[in-house]
Amino acid sequence: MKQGLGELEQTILLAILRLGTEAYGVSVRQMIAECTGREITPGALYTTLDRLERKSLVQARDGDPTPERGGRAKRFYTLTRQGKTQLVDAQSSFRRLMEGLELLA
Amino acid sequence: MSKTALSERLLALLSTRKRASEVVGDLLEQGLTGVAFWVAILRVALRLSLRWTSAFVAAVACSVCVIALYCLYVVPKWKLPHHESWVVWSVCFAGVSLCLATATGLTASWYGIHDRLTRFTALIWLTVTASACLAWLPHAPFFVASALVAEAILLSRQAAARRLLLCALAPAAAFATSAGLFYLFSRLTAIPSTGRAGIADLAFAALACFSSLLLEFSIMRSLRFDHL
Repeated sequence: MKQGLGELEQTILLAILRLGTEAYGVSVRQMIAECTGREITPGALYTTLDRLERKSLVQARDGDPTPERGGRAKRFYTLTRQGKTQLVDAQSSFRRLMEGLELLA
Repeated sequence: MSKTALSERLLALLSTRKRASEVVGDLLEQGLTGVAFWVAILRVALRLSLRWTSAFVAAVACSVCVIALYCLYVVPKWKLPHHESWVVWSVCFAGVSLCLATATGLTASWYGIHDRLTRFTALIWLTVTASACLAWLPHAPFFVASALVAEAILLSRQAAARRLLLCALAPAAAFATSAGLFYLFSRLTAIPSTGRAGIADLAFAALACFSSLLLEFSIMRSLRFDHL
């Protein structure tokens, strides 16, 4: 049985994809707020990122420590090939369901 | 200890050190201070602990299923004439089933029911549970033992299956060892010493169960690698 992606998972994956190499916790939240008008809580963001990492849909790398973060490094995320494939699958399903409905017109 | 170090330690208990450092760093970058900072930390901690809580609840629920099934189906059969020969086998299988039940509950909750490790652990758990429940049938223990040995030999021929077997059995064995040590400790020291099923007994049982599950959980997480 194929495992689907949840709505929040898809939103976060899309935000990471849009941000390119600059996707980390703060920027992902900001991007989602700008594009969807939805403020996701830090708890929801980090538990979802945790899950996406565990499913090998995203991979993380540490940046350089910065003073405004109290000397802590940013954690940048990128989609893995598996992550892109699952996201495209999920979005294609939505597109197929939307076809002929002309809701966006 | 500063508030950032304290909050980082708190989150590291529920997640990893890297995740804790990331969360605290992100909150500091957003300029959160004082109450707002702690509220955000507590909200993240609550979300992270919910996953742990649900994993422990799932493990306990699976164990309760085994105990209920055994009490309702097997215990009434203890009166059968060939009592001595099969009851020992049945109790042993039930004990193993109980340990595998906790492993199944933890993997199902942590990695999801579609995960290979969850399915594999559940398969072994169900086999052993069925063995415990059917041990009253004549010659059943010999058939079951032969089937399990054959299954183990077949599985040990593939590296991936060996790894899965290790990931399924090692946490369950850790749980069994820890629970056994707690039991021995209580027998040797008579702690808790209420003599009846009082609050002290319940607290001790809860401590034994929680500590054993925690050990099982940490072994399961350290053994399982992402692309299992």
